[in-house]
Amino acid sequence: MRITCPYCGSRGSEEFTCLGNTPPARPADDAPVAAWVDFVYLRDNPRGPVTELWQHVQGCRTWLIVTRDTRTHTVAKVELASRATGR
Amino acid sequence: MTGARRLPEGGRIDRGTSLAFTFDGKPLQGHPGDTLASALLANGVTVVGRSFKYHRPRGLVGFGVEEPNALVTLGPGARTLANTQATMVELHQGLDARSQNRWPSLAFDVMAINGWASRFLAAGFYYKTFMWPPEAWTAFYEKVIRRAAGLGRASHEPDPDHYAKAHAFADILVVGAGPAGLMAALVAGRAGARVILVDEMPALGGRLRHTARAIDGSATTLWLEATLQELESLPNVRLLPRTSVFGAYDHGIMAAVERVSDHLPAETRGALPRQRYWQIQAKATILATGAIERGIALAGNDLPGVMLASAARAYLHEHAVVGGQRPVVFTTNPSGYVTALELMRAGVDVQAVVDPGPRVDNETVVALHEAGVQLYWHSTIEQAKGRGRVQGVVMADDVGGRREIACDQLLLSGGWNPTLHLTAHQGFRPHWDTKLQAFVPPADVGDITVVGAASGRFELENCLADGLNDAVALCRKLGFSAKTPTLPKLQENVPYTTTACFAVENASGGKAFVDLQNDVTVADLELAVREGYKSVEHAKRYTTHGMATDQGKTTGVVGHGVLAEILKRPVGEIGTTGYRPPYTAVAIGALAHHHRGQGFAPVRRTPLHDVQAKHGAVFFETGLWHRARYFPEAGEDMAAASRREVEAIRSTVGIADTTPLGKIELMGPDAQAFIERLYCNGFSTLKPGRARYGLMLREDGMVMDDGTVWCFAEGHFMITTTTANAAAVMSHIEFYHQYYWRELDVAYASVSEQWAGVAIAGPRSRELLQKLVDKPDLSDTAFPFMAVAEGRVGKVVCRIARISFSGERAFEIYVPAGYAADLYDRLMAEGAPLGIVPYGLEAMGTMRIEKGHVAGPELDGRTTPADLGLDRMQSRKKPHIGHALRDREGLLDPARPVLVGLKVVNAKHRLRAGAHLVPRGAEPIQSNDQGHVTSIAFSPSEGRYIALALLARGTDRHGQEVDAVFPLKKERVTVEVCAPCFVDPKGARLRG
Amino acid sequence: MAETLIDRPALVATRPVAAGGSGVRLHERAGLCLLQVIARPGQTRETGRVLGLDLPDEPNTTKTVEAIQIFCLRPRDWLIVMEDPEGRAGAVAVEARARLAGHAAAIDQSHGRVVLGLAGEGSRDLLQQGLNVDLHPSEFPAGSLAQTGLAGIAVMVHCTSAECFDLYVARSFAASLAAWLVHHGATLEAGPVP
Repeated sequence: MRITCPYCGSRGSEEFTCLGNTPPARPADDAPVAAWVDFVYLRDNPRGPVTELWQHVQGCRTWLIVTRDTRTHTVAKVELASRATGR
Repeated sequence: MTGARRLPEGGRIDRGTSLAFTFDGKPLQGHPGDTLASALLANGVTVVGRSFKYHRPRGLVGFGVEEPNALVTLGPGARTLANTQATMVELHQGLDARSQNRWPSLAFDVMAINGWASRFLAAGFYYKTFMWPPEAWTAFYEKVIRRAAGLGRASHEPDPDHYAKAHAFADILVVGAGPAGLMAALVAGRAGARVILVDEMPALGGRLRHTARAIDGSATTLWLEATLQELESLPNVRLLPRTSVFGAYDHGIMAAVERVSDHLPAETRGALPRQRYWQIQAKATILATGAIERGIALAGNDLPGVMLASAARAYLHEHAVVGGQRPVVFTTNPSGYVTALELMRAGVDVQAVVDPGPRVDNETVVALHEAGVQLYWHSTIEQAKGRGRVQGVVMADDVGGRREIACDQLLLSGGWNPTLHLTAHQGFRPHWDTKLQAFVPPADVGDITVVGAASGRFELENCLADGLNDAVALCRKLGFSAKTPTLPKLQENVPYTTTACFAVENASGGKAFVDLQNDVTVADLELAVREGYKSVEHAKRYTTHGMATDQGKTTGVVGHGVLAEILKRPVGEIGTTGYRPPYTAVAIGALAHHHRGQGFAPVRRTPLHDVQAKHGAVFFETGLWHRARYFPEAGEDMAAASRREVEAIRSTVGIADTTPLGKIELMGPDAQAFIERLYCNGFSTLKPGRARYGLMLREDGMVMDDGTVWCFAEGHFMITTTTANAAAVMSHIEFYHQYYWRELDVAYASVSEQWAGVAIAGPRSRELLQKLVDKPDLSDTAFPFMAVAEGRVGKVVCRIARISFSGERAFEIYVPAGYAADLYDRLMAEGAPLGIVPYGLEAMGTMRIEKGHVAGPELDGRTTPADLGLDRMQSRKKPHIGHALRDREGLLDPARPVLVGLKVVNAKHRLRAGAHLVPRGAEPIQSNDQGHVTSIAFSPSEGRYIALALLARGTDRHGQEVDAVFPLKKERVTVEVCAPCFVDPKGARLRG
Repeated sequence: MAETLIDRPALVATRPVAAGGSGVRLHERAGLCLLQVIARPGQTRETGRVLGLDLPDEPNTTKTVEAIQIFCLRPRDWLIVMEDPEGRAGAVAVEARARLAGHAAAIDQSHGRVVLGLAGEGSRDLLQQGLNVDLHPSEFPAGSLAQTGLAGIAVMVHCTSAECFDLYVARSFAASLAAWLVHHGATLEAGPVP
């Protein structure tokens, strides 16, 4: 698989590690426990495009949000995690 | 006598040089340019192996990677290679090959008795036999089946060869160097694109090498030579013969294996790798992999002497070898006719050409008539007969009559299957073309452009045209200006027509084979359907057709066609099974390439490795690091050495390498705020010149890592992590800053490698260190416990802290890595009069366990600060990662296992990490499980084995006895529960 | 104590080690100062002014100013490389930290990385074996920089001229990387890749 890092260009997936699906928005520090439990443990598992957090560890070490189709592995988009909204 | 022989003229072999080889111990001769297969035919050898299940004698069927029968074992010794296709082995001097799956010999094989029992060995017999009684399976059945199963026998010795890996990039990758591929590579190469042209054979040209046709008025050889010469001269074209592209992966990645030196005698290989695994990334791929001919299922079609017509043609042109003197050709399409004519012209007496389809008229047919060959239309061959080889065939003619034709070879051409496997790897399903009677790739196959025979355009004219036109189009798309060269002119081009003919009905009762390698017959497919395995996927797996090492290259479609006929449905509706990498077998060594032995993983050494080795260190691997474990003096084992080291540290001073610790520089106006969020304990009162122990939690409240935070100045920190988690903590910090807390004005960088250093521990540690350190003053008042400073050793900047993992008065001192070895030497020299002792991880571990300092085994991702007795460390005043879920019911449950110390009741007993804790005398079962032992050590101060452990309600059970059980070794040891600290609980030695 | 400590190189062989004869040579470029500078947001220009250097903005680009190489690793994060024959890197870093206070962080990495120089005809081919980055001169000309991995080891590759590369690798991995290069150099010498 190849991922196009915005700073380094198209690279083999062996240069990256995947943290998993992008989490939902992080609750406020004083939000009720139920909200935190959902945040830590619940994720959707769709068949189709998902957004994932990848770090370019053997590269510029930037965290990226990769939109990948779980059926075909097609990577539709790669953005900087630092520019993401809804965290 | 077989009819197989070498012709007096022709072929691309070097008749001037003779190569000696052996087959089943028999010495034979061949020539450079031969394969083992062609050399065997030249020597009249037509039986090359015995079949898998029925042990029937088998001969050569194919020419290349499609060959199902001729599997041999190449030797000798450690280089033994089983299940190798004789058709793909290039002959060299001294080659030693043996047939497989027969005992005691090829000529007489005891296991042929299976053929007599074939009624009971039909498809699916594995599922119906060997079932009862169940106990007999491991005791008896499995052993017998293992002995009988498989084909060749591998060597058990380590592979002496080495393998390489290479990356390659190109604008256009052309897979297959037949007419279409050569033309595409030529066009793209001339246009200036970076081209890689790959072919699995040693010489390029594909089927152009197997034809007598004329291109541009002269023999194809001339066109081929001119084209190859030009390709070789172009610096932007890379030619990779002997290379099989075995897999098409995501995003245009293609994997291939090049047989670099397989064809050379082992002793001449030198430093050459045996094979090279290529990972190729091209902007576009042209698939010009051609097509593979298929056979026809008819009674006796597995007799030695039954061969594919295209293979006979290839042996003729490439090696001047024929498999018979008097063949009959049974063909559904024009290629069989051309083969017959070319054989006639070479002096072979073709007995007949039999075609199930209607009469055709073309130049070839006319020439065959003139040569006196009998031609039969609307006719089929029902049976091949003979004892151990083809001696005649039974033909059913157009009016229902039967006649026998004496012959010594039967050449089959049941149609052609485009080699579309690489498109299927990417999930594109082929569809059935009724006119071609073949599966062809769909129009859209992603990044791949399929040309020529691989796309179902079998005529040479179309192959050349496709190669040309598609390459031009691709080049233009990639931004290269490709000129459209003129297509070479060809001798008469016969359009491809064919008649559906997968199997011929069989009144004789003889076996009609669908899959030769796995011994699957038409009757097996009929049985599968009767038993309900009707889908193409079920029928394949139930009968195992298409599942042998040849992966059904010549027989898969025959099987699908037969299945369709049994089910009375069109083949298009039945469909085909999928294809997955690898297309042909790949040696595991090639995939591992240099990741073996020392090269398996990178090795990390500290700058203190050699100086420690000089002092007798014994190293061991922890993760990728090689670390000193203990320093034995004469006659000491690890236990004795580490015990002596611990005693020395506690009485005077010791030195240990602490370099691998993770170290991260953290700077900026918001550095302190960031640290507050990362750690569960408070850092707002941490002042410059001090360090503090810290616990990092995960969002779920579990401890992730522990370490220390050193404060050099306001907004300037260095944090340390455990060695094992150094990389994980760095990524963790980068993640939280980049994703969640981008607004924090903080900079961070890993400095783990920049700073190398040692722990100096023991009552005389300060005395020793002050001899070398110019700055700062290390006296107890100036530099108390947990003080840090940037100091100097001579002119060299250093970082010092008074911290202790060992529980003794101790310092850690770090210098830029290049100076560390010299620092160690100086400390050892200055420490000699004090009785300094180098120590390693074993002693370090013993001391930290005696002090109850938690480390990796306690921080296993399931423990909270409270579990470890550190609940008071976790702040309730500031938000931090892990605060939100700390008060979940399950984490507050008093029955949770918590940290305790253990000591053996009987000083002679030993403990094992991982042992589980159960009530005294209780059975070692889940319901009695109360916790487990995390870390063990022999305690010099207690004079017995001690441990740290997690025990349910442990804090309330000090003084009680429980059993530590280790069922794997059937051990049970009684231990006393105590506080997790065995030495100096008040820490006087630390802080004094 | 008056005398100072001795700086020892990372690789055992201090003289150039031939990687595969035929002109490819590998050696450790010792005596360099590697200073990592991370500017605070919006402080790039000030940081450049204090250092007296024109800092490249774009990650994976390089600038050379006389004998000083400046690599941009990430936005606002640079590695500055200069010759340091007298081993003053530590003092340089301390001084840089002081001068850049308020604008940027300065971190000494002189000992954290080893710089391996690979030079001679065949260097590009040798590196291409192990790098999953296109090193063709049209894609990776002199001055190019890539942060990537080779044989599982993180490495920064700088093409200094046609057949000349500097490889920046973490110190503890340097020996493994050098071993890979020497072994594969020998393999290529036995038979060049087609």
